[in-house]
Amino acid sequence: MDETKIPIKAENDVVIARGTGRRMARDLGFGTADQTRLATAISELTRNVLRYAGEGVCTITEKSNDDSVTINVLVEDHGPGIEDIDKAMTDGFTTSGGLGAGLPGTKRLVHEFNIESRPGATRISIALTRPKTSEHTCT
Amino acid sequence: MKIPILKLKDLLLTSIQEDLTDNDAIVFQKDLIEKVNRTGVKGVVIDITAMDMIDSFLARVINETANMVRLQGADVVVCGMQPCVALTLVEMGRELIGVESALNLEQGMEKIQALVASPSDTDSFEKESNGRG
Amino acid sequence: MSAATEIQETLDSASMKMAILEQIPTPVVAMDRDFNIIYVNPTGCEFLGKSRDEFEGRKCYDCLKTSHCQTPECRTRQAMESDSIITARNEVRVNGKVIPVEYIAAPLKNNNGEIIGGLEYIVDITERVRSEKMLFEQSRTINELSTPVIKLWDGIVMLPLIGVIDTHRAQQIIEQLLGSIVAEEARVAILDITGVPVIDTSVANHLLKTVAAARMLGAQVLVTGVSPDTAQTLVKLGVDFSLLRTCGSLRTGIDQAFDLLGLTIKESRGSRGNENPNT
Repeated sequence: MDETKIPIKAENDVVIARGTGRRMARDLGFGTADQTRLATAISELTRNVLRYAGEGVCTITEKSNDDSVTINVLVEDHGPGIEDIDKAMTDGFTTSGGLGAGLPGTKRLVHEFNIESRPGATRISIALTRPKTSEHTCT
Repeated sequence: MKIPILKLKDLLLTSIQEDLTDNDAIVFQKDLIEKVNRTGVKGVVIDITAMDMIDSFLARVINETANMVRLQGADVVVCGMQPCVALTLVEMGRELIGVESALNLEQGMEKIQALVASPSDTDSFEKESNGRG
Repeated sequence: MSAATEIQETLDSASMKMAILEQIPTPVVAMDRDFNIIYVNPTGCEFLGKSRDEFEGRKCYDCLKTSHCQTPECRTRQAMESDSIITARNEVRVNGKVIPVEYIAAPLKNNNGEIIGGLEYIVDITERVRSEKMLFEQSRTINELSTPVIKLWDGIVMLPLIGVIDTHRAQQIIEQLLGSIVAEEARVAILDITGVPVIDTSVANHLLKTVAAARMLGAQVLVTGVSPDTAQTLVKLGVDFSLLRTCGSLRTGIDQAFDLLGLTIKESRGSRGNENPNT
């Protein structure tokens, strides 16, 4: 299992995290659209970490089985936590108001989205999966 | 990292990279507004070809910048958005609204010149839906 | 025939039958009306990763553990209660793997025809599910390939949409359209929805997203093939028409597309292509 840990302490780390995510997704055979989705999601989540918690960690892992390949990103911090998760997960705005943590939008980019948050610990985990293409070739 | 703003005849041309920090964005917006003010240009082209990712923060920066320029009395065209980025923005629900766009720099220049040449409209949306050619 | 031989023959026949049962190459489970396991064949033991002793006196639902277990969905329960044979799909979790299966449940009866329990045989359908997925993917690809983007003129592309627009197809459509806008440097894109049978909120939203995405690439989108019914639906759905430009017919759409590019179609005077040898 391939795992990469990226500390998020400054804005430059956001750039590193999403660049790493994009590269790993590319190496795992994800298309450019998925690569962009993942990079964007990582950017959203890690920026939130800086904005609300000051610092955190981003861990990117790869998992695959017979049928599919999955890239998983876990973003954790020890910040104040999200007070009302339900509210945070509701669409407030559709324009680029930049209000709120942008979580509903991020959720729409990925296949799996899990969030746990309480004061002192927030963990958001996202994943993109792609099917392994069939070995059979038809002539 | 300072973003260069070029003057091309009666237009301003600027190019944004994706690794824009919060500070860079603020500095950039200030620079651009000052320059629009000082030069009195009627059109600004913002080239985003180099951006292979636009998150909600960057989308907001682009939107705000376009609005600021328009408030200064100049037209704005944003050009060069990558298809994957456009796709991601609509999926997130963060599409740029009310901003004139063009596929690439060439079309961007054509568009800004057309906008500048015709009588100014406060609602660029109206222009689009009225089918300006 | 002597009594001893008769008994021997009966026993031989019974043990033959038992041998046949034991060799059935698919899992078979029998239980009483309280779901206590009476019998599991060797293939069943292998499949569930347990030895025969481990099944002794245990409840079926403790050993199989599926989403149907202990709910009205359990087909074996249904079979016992309704005295009928029932087939259903399910998933079994064994050794950390999830296996898609089809199981056939039947009532188990004694010699008097009374229902004394249930009988199940299980078929591993992993391959079948895989084939189905592949077929589904292929039909999606066919869907995409059968509606290619057409270059109508310099700067104008057209995509006729046909069939049901689900989320996956909607994504495909945006990708196709954006790709062609870039490739053809198109400034106008026509989306014809004549072939889309159902226009509901979800399809309307997909259309709006497609239009927004194309716009950010500098292209105007015209949605054509909007029937009077569809027009009514869109208005009722509260679609913002400053964001969506529509036409009834493709002809009007093409007309508007040329208009947007500052082009007009003129009738040419003269020979209309016929070569007149006398001029």
